[in-house]
Order: sequence, then structure tokens, then C-alpha cells
Amino acid sequence: MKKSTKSKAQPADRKSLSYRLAKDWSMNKWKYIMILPVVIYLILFCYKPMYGLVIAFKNYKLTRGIDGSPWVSPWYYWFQNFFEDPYFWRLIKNTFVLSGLTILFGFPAPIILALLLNEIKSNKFKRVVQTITYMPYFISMVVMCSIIKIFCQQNGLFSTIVEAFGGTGQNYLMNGAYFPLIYVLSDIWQGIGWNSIIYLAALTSIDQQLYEAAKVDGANRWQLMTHVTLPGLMPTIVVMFILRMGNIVNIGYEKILLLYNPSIYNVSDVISTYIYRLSFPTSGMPLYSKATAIGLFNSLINVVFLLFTNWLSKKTTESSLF
Amino acid sequence: MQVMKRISAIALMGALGASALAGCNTEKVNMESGGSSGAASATTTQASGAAASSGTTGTITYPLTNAKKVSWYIQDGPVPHTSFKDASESPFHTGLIKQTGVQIDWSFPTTGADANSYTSTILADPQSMPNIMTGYFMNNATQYLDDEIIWDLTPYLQEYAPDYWKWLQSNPDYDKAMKTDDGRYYTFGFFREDGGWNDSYQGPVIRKDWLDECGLEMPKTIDDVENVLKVFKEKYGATFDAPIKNRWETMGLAGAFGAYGNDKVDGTWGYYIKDGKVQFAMAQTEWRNYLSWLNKLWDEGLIDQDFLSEDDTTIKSKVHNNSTGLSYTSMGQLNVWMKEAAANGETCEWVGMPQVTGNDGTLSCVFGGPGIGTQTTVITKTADEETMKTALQLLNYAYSDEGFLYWNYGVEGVSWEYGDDGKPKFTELVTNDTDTDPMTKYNGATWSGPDIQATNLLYQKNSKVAIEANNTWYYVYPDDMKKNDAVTKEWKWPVGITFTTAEADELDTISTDLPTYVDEAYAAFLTGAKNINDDAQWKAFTDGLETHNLSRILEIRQACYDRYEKR
Amino acid sequence: MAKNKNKNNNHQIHESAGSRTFDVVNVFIMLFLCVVTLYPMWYILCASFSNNAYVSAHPGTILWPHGFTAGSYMLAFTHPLLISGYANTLIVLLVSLPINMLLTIFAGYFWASKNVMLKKPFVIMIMITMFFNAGMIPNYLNVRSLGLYNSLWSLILPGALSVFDTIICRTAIEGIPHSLVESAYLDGANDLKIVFKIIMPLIKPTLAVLLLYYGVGHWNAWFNASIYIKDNDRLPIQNIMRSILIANSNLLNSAGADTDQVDMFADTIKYSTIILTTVPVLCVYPFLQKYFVKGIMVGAVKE
Repeated sequence: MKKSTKSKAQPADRKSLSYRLAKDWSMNKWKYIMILPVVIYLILFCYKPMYGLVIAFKNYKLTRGIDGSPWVSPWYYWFQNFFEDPYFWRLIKNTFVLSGLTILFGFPAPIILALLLNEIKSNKFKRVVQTITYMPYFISMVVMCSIIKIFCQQNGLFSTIVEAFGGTGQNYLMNGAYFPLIYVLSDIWQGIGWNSIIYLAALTSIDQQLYEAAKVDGANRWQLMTHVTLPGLMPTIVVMFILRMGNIVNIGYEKILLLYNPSIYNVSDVISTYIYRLSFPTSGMPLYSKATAIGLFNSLINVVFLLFTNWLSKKTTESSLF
Repeated sequence: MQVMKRISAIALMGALGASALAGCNTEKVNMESGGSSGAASATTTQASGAAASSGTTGTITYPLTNAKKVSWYIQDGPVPHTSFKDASESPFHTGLIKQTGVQIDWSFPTTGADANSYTSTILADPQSMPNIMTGYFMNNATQYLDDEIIWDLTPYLQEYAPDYWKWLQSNPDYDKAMKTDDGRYYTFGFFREDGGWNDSYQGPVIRKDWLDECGLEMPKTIDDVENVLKVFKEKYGATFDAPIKNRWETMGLAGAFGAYGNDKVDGTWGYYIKDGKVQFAMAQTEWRNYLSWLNKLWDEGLIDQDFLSEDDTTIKSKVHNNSTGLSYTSMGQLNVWMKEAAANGETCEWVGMPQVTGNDGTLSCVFGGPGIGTQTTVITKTADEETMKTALQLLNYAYSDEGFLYWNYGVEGVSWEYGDDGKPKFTELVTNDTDTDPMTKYNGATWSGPDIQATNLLYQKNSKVAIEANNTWYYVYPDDMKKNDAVTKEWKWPVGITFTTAEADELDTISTDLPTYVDEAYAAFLTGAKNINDDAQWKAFTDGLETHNLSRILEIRQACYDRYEKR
Repeated sequence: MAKNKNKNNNHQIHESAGSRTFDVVNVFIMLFLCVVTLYPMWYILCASFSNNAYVSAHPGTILWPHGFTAGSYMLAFTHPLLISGYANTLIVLLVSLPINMLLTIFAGYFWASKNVMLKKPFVIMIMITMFFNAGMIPNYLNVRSLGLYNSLWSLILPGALSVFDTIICRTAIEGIPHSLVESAYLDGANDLKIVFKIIMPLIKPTLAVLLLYYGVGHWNAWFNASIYIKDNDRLPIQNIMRSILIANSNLLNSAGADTDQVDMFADTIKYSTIILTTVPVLCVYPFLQKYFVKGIMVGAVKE
């Protein structure tokens, strides 16, 4: 903090820190007052309990409490324990494959939907489509997965379709090759409408005069889309993308747990399902310490990806998160 | 009247030890209890001179007249039926207060909550823990005792919970399970009245109508099963299919090959005891033979392709669409299958099938257990000594003759009365109730709890076909109960084992992946992705078990088991 | 709106055949999407009104309610906690949303503002909470130590600010031409006035999205309530729906012996609970939807 103010202060005439603070206060008083409740909230509900993260370096027992539980030695015991797990690399690989595919195909899908919706001329039709595509978001994971399971059965919907085209059906959930496809497609299906809302909102704030001007210059629809609409959406897209990348290791365990079976563990077992096994073990007590340690490890990866993406987008586009 | 009550209360006091006196005067005396407790006090006084551990067993008269208020948390089992807002509306829970004379402040995981997480939060705040906790504490009992989280009940049990004490003394297996290695009593258990009957609640089932139609005998051996499956496949296009989760995964037909497990590995399943040695089922050649057979069936197309992803819900379409002729399921599910089939107007008849044996009659084990539950009840240190004594008497109730009836059926004349056969029967209040499991509104023993579950209760709860199925599954050798016990429970990893804190820690840390590894191998061997008959692949599998710390796990478990046996 | 139409008219006049083909293809894509989405929804609706035995025998292939019955709905409707559940959720929503929105707008505005000396430390402070969460037990102990246990405040205050939503808000505020804010300053307005009088009307579509995000978040939430609340009659509706689901099917349970109980509505109940929890959200949606279907003219306000 001090450093940054100092470096900023260099070129200006060397006013004292207190003077500059006083000036900043008089200028930005209301802004500070506005951020005050936010800071109070953060301290009370985020930073105060965050002390609990030290259990990643302890052997935490529920009844002994955070302070009463002994430290582990070495301090990286749980991290090492995780890295030495026979499944460690498999978990990492699966996590990144599933997450990567979801970003690759799942991220652009709602943007494309928003762009296509924007081209619909009938407002009524637009609203209907929007409402319908938004509905699946509210189907609970349990039901969603039981529907997927039914469709994937040997004599289910997908097999029926494949057989209609002369192929041979199978249980697609028993074949590891199809799992990423099923995972990503169902993800898109469930989230496409919901995730497009933010882009639709952004579309509305694009200055209509830009369209007029472009049309005067003789732009066709495609050019309008690529030269006016997309650039208008860009700040939102970039921010959403950076945030998504900062979430790369977080794959919901619930869906995988509900879908997977032993014949596809090798492609579907991910870090979050591993954490689930630690927190809800089939025997013994939950390993909260190890789960917290892996959580920290996850967060670090996420931070690295976020910072990298942010840096990249700063270089290549004008917008970035900070 | 006031004096009478005071006198009777003091007389009872004598039985309960002088230390209880302090609390007595301030307690409200239950009006209706005045007379009866006076009468009972004579027996109680003479029954006990009340030296703590070596004292003679007394009797306790309910309702208690000098009870402290206690708080009681229950994780699973006797929780209020979902049609009630909370315990204040639940006949069982309000009734227990009336029956025992103890003011109980009930708590449960809130409706819809994940019970495990809820219990974790309670454990995380030991200062505000309820006085009595019903949950899964056995594995870590030593730690809780050493950390002074729960009461060591040894000095008090015989005096303040005489009926429970008697129950434990009546069966050395029960007694063994309810204490620690060094002999400290700490818990009240859940017991099934006649041992393992209801612990064998799942097993193989078959389409009886098809068997008859084809003129086939009920299959008894693995060859019979294979033959039946072939006929079913040819005639009806039906295969073998079963819900893996919770059902098939536990035992399957492994016993017919002399194996002791299918593919489930957790605290209990996967490990077994043979000649005092703790062994791992999946590392044995018997298990290999079993999988080799399953793999053969798979290759012949006798097992449904969806088999590995099947659960209780998805299997039902196979059952109703006549694409399954032989399966493996539980009493409750069998009820449902038949009920739904009737509603759809299907003409199928599923029945429980005798346990399948090897062609030479081999049968090492079946799905079963000793009739002792893993959920138990402890008294925490938030209870002071007096409260702890009240809690003991409160918990003792379920094991008394009167309390046994209450915990199983509720109040006589309300939810049950004696039938013509002299056994309790639920009244129309229960039988005409269309809610799910209406008896749980009035009783506590339907699923679990600190009590003894009456077998008669299970007879009343289940349909005839389900009870017959259970009889078939449990009475493997009806004429030789010793042999029967050997296959249904004696091989099992015992309930009530207590690990030391260090052991529990190490086990939790090193055994995370083993279940996954075995599951995966099972699928691969079954479908032929890995060849079970190839020695190299089998060796790779058993070597893999070592990477997942099997030797160390067995070593810890053996040490723990040895201590258990020495109790 | 008017301009929109104008634009479309222009297209039709001098747009190529290619453009018209695109329109047709586009409509077909949308219709396809609708069908793919609607079928499972339709299935859920039909199944929820069907005979349970029929549903379990015909998974995935119900085109019309079979053996019409509202039994599974009756099961839910007669639940003693249904009313208190909806009421609690409503209270949480009504109290939470203003708090959520205010905090988010304040934080977003602060983040978007320039020339604030202490901006960086505060922004970092906000960002960190996006990645590091204390976990279930510490959060629970915190709620207890703040005295919020078993009160609806425990569902309102923790999680009152979403960093993700703050960033969306900030992005929208940054999109507002700076000159607008400058001129307001010159008119003597303070930041508070600027936020309420200038910023908020301009980012209405984004605010509608945020409202939806927070609202749906509260609507779907159940886990916190399940450990922060002790009394059943203070639970929100999702917990009640979950309890109906758990009690009537063994889908969510994992233990063995004790999950044998299955009700006559085991299969249909899971579908009717979806309908019961989705319909209220669908009813609210059109009111918010209008904000992001119609555009507002930033350009017109400019100057």
C-alpha cells in the first residue's frame, strides 16, 4: 500500500502523506462512506471466519476445535499427502479436461444465443425463446441427472436415434469416450439460456447511434454484428471469461457423483469429487484438514489462471478485470 | 398429598444415591405418578445399597419423579415423521416425555438437511452440545472419552440403567460391542430382537411365474442360475440386472464362490474375519473365481448392459418391462415392485430366491449382520452429574419391558393393542394412515435408535412376500442355527470396534482411494476391459491394492480386532 | 424501440437473399433449441401428474399425463411447513435483495471510480474473498458467535455481497460515459446522489440481471439454512421441498438399511417439487425480462 502511494507520489511535488490523504478524503468522502458497509460485511462474514483456513496446517478434530487441534509437521503434510496420492495426476488431468471443454464449448454458447436472439425480428418470439431456454436452469441436479441416465441407457433415447441411422446403440454412460461429451452438452443445455441473460442485458446498452452510423456507411448485417454488436459486448465477454478462468478448477461434484459409475471413473473422477470423498467418507471421520488444504491448492490454481488471463486480455484487448 | 409425594420422592432417592437429593426438592413432581412411585419405592430401596460399580441391579419406576431437564439430539431413526412440524407435534416424542417423566428438549437435523453435516456442526461446538447425542460415535469413542467430550458410564450404568445392564449381560456379544477395549461403557446401542433376521434384508429375487411357465426348478447353485438365465434370455429376451448402489455392491452372489465381498469397500464391507484373521475380500482367489464367472455371464449377454449404472429407481423400468428375470434387491424394494406392477396391471410375480450356493454346496457368507446397529447414543459432558443420571434412566426406559413396548408400538390402546395371537398389533389409527411408514409417528424403533427392535414390528410393517423373501434369505440352514450364524454374521467385521485416535487418524488418511480402486477394477474385470483370467492382470490388480496401503490397513485393523476379541 | 423497428425495416428493403435465408435458419435454430429444451420440461410436467407406477415403468417416454393424478402435489401441499417455508423465503428475499443491491452497487461504483487513493487495497480485499472461503465449520462457528444462529439473519447476512455480481456491476458502470458523471459533479452532486440519480437509471438492465442472480440464488439456497437454522418453521421453502423429496425417495440418501422406505409417489414427487419451485420464478421472470429485451438508449441521454 505504502509503496504504491509512494511511487505515485514521486513525480508530483512531495506533499506529505497525511496531506494527500486529507485531500483524497475531501474529494472522495462519499465513496469511502459507501464502501464502509462493504468493508464491515467483508470483515465480519469473510475475514473473521477465514482464520479457519489454518486447519489446512493442523490435524483438525471437530470436538477439539481449531485452536485445540495440533499442528501437523511438516506444515505441508496434507499437501504432500495429496500430491503423493496415486490418483493425483489423474484428478488433475480430468479436472482440466472437463473444465477446459466446458469453457471451450460452454462459454461461447450463451454468447452465440444472445447474438442470434438479437437478430430475431419478432419481439414476442424472442421473449418466448428466451423464457423457454431459461427454464432448465431450475431443474434440480438430481432430476437432471436421472433424465440423462435414462436417455443414455442401452435402449434409451440416444441409442434409439443412433439405431435409426443404422448404428448400434449402447449405454453411453458406460463408455468413457462419451462422458466429456455428455457432461459438456448437458451443461450447455442447462445453462445456455440463463447465462445468455447477462449478454442480453449488455446488448441493450449498445449505443443505437452506432448502428445508424454503420448503416449509413453501408454495412450489412454480418458487418453490423461483427463491427458493432460484438465490440459492444466485448467488455462483458472479457470480464466473464476472466472470471470463468478464475474458476477453472471448480467443477461441481454433484453432477459427476450422480452420473458416474465405476467403468468411467478414469475420465470422470475430479478434484471436487475427491474432496467430497474426504468430507463425506464411507467410513471414519471427515478429513477436514486435508479437504481444506486441497481447497487452498485449488484457490491458488484459480488465482494463477485468473491473473494470467487478466494479463493476457490486458495485452490483447482493452478491457480487463483490474 | 404434598407430604406423600415428598416422602415417596425421598424413598426413591435412596435408590438413586444420596447425591441426587439436592436436585430433588426443586423438581416438579408429576401429579399422576404420585401413587405408583410410592408403591414402587419399596422394591427400589431394598434393591440397592448403591455402591457405584459393584452394586446390585435395581429397578426404575417410570415416570421418574425427580428428573432433571435434558436435551437430546438424534441424527437418524427416531426423528419426527415428516408430516409433523417438529417434535412438539409428534406423538412418539411428546409421549416419551410423559412416559418417562423427563422433560426432553429435542433436536434433530432440520427437515431436509444433510444429517452428517448437521451432526458435524454440533460436534464442532462442544460447549453447546445437547446432553444426549444419538449418532455414529463408535469408531472415535476412545478419543471422545479421553478428551472428556462424553461420559464414561461404567460407574453408573448398573445402578441408573439396570434394564439396559441386564440386557447387555444377557448376551456377551452385546456387552462386548458397547464398551471400549479397556472396558469403559459409554453408549446405548440399537439391537434387533432376534439377532440377524432383519440384517439380512436383501438378497436374490426371481420371476416365479416365469420359472413355473418354463417348468424350471427354483435355482439353487450357480449352474442353476446360469441355466435359468439362458432360458429366460431365449424365451423372454430377459437378462440379469440389479441395482448396484447399496444393494448388489455389498455381497452379490460372492458367497457361492467362497468369497466374502462384491465390490463395496468401506468401514465394514470388504473386510472379513476368518480364523481370527482380518482379511480383504477382493484380494482372494475366491473373489477372482467369482468375477471370472460374472465376466462369463457378461460375455454371454446374460447381464444387462446398463448393469453398472443401475440404481433403485432405474431398475424399475427393467422390472416392469419384463426385461429382467433375475435380480437382487431388498425387502422394501420388493414391496414396491409388486405394488407398482399391480397398479400397472402387470402379471409378474417376484419372489425371494434361496441364497445361491456353489455347485458343491459352497456358501461362505450372505448379506447379513449381528443385529447391532452402528448408530448409538452417548451422554455428553454438557450434562452435569445429576443430569447424566437422569439421562441414564431416560435411556434405560427403552430396554425395560414397558419401554420396549412403547418404543416399538407406542401407547397401548392408542396406536396398538394385543391381537388374538397375544402379540401387539397396530390399530386402525396406524393401518388406515396413508402416509409413508405411519407407525414412525408413534414408535421409535422402526429404523434405529437406542432401543430393541421387535421382530413383530417388522412383520407388521412389511408385506407378506417381503417377509417370506427375508425368511428365505436369512434362514439358509434353518435346522442348524450355528451354521446359519456362521454364514450370516460371524465372518463380518464386528460392530462396536473402537480405534485408538492414532489408528483412526491413519486409517482415515490412507484409505481414501481404496474403494474407488476396487470399484473400478470390478467394472473392468466384469466387462472384460481387463482380463480376470490373465494372471499378469490379476497380479497387477493385487499389486495395486498395495499401492493403496492395503497391508497397512489390514495391520491396523488386525490390531484393533485383536483388542476387541480380548475384551 | 422505434429505432429498432426502423433498423429492421431498413434491412428488409435493401438486404440480400442471404440475409433472409439467415432469418429463416435462425428461426429454425431457435425452434430446435426450444424443442430440445421443452421436451424434458414437458416430460417433468406430465410425469408430475402421472400415476407413479406408470412413470417408473416408462422412464423418459411420457408425452401426456398417464393415469392423471395430483397426488404428489397433494403430498407436498399438505406438508405442515409449506406455508412457513414460502413465507420465510419471501422474508429472506424481501430483506436480502435491497441489502444485496445496495452493497453491490456501492462496491461496484467504488471499484469503477478513478483517482481514489485507497482503491487498490479495498479492491484486493474484495477479490480475495472470491477465492478463499473459510469452509463450512468455521462459517458455522462464526454465525453462532455473531448470535445469528437460528435466525433468518443467518440466511441474509452471510453472502450478502457476491464478488462476481460486483464485477458485473462495475463493468456496467464503467460503460457509462464519464462526461455524464463529470457534469453531475459540476452541478454540485455528491457521489451518493450520482449513484441513485444517474448511475442506477442508466444500468437498469444490469440491475435487473443482478436482481435475478441474487433472487434466484436465495430462492435455490438450502444448505446454509440446513445448518444455521434449528427450528423447522424457520426454514426456507427449498429445505421443505428437499425434505419431501428425501422422505419419499431414497435418491439422496446413501445409507443402507434405513433407506428402504419408499412411498407411493417416490418417482413423481421429484418432478412435482420441481414444478412447485420453478413456477414462482417463472412468474416473476417476465417483469424483469422486459428490461433486457427492450434496449434503453444510452445515446439519447448522452450530452
